[in-house]
Amino acid sequence: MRLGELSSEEVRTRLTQHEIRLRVGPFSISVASDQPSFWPAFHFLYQDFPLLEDDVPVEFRIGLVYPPGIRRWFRRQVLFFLDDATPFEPFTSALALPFFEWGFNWCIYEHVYEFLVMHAAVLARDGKALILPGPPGSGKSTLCAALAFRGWRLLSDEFALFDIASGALFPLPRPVGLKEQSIGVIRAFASDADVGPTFTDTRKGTVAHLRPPSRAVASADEPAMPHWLIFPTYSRDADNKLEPLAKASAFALASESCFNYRALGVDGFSALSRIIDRCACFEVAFNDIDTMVRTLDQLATRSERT
Amino acid sequence: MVNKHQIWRVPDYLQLRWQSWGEAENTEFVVFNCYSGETHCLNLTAGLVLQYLETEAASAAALSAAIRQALPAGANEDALRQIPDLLHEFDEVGLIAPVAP
Repeated sequence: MRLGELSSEEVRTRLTQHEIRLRVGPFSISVASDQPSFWPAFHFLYQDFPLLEDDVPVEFRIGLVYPPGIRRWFRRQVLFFLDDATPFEPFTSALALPFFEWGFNWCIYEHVYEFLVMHAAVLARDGKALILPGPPGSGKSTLCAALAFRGWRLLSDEFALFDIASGALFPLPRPVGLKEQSIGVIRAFASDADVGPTFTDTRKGTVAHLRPPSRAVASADEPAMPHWLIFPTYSRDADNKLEPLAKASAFALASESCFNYRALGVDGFSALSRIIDRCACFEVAFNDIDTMVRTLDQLATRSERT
Repeated sequence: MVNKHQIWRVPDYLQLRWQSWGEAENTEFVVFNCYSGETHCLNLTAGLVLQYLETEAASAAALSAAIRQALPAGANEDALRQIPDLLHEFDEVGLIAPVAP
């Protein structure tokens, strides 16, 4: 059963009185919340995700609840709980959904060691994965969202999860975080894109989340093998051309994009070496989504022929 | 600047892991130091120098002669003049240590 098969009343009741357990990529999570702004947004964005039974163990037990005291009633705030810990300062209650997304990200990059975790968007065509590492502002999420509506399967817009032994990429399709102008760019690029509520005045400016395509969530248990590693940078005076990148340089950049490369020690080195070995590596400065999508489509088509 | 007569070697406890890409003069190396957890990207000359010192102790002068022999045809021999600087950098990041004569 999927979350979207529950009525909004059932979602509200479960979130407030008990919890909802979901399978999100390789992770099982539990979510509870007394935040009215959170219920409909969560229901909409996670509608395709499979529900889990109450006895399934979870990696992350997340709560989004009012703090005790006056902040429950006056200038309402929300606390993020992981189990019984509150790792962050409270947010304004209206931002419960983005707080959940950022907190869930934190759970992954702070606590996951069974994968080599890279800050990257990942898409795939015919089982071949395109990895787009990049810091916030590099344009990777915008490019990722656009590709997800042009025949590429979305694996993740935030984390590349590499199996340490095989290098296979495990999908983690979640809502794609869009910021500022990117929201309008993606709405214009894909009229069928389902974008959730817009949140203004967040720490990252205005944000909205693209609901992951249903087919991406349905394929969340199908890994893909690394094939292209491309470091994008958004730049107004870009030429939108892929420039080949030497593998040692790609290794250095990729290791800096990993959250747990150092913690994994020699296992991280071996895993990343195999990944770089498998990938054609490029960097690109871009300023035009349509051109980039065409360029990456051509790259994939050439690969199919060889 | 290092003493040109100083003998250097990669300490046994480091346990280096190697990965290389490219061919001939375009070869690049990435080396992982299991002792420190640091990763280093090296060009051809630097990689050959460190690999040599992993198996044998040598001075800058001895290294220069050995690496000249090991460089593939077409490689830029100007890089050999950088060996003293390379040794200084390797010493600073703990990849090599002086050996008593």
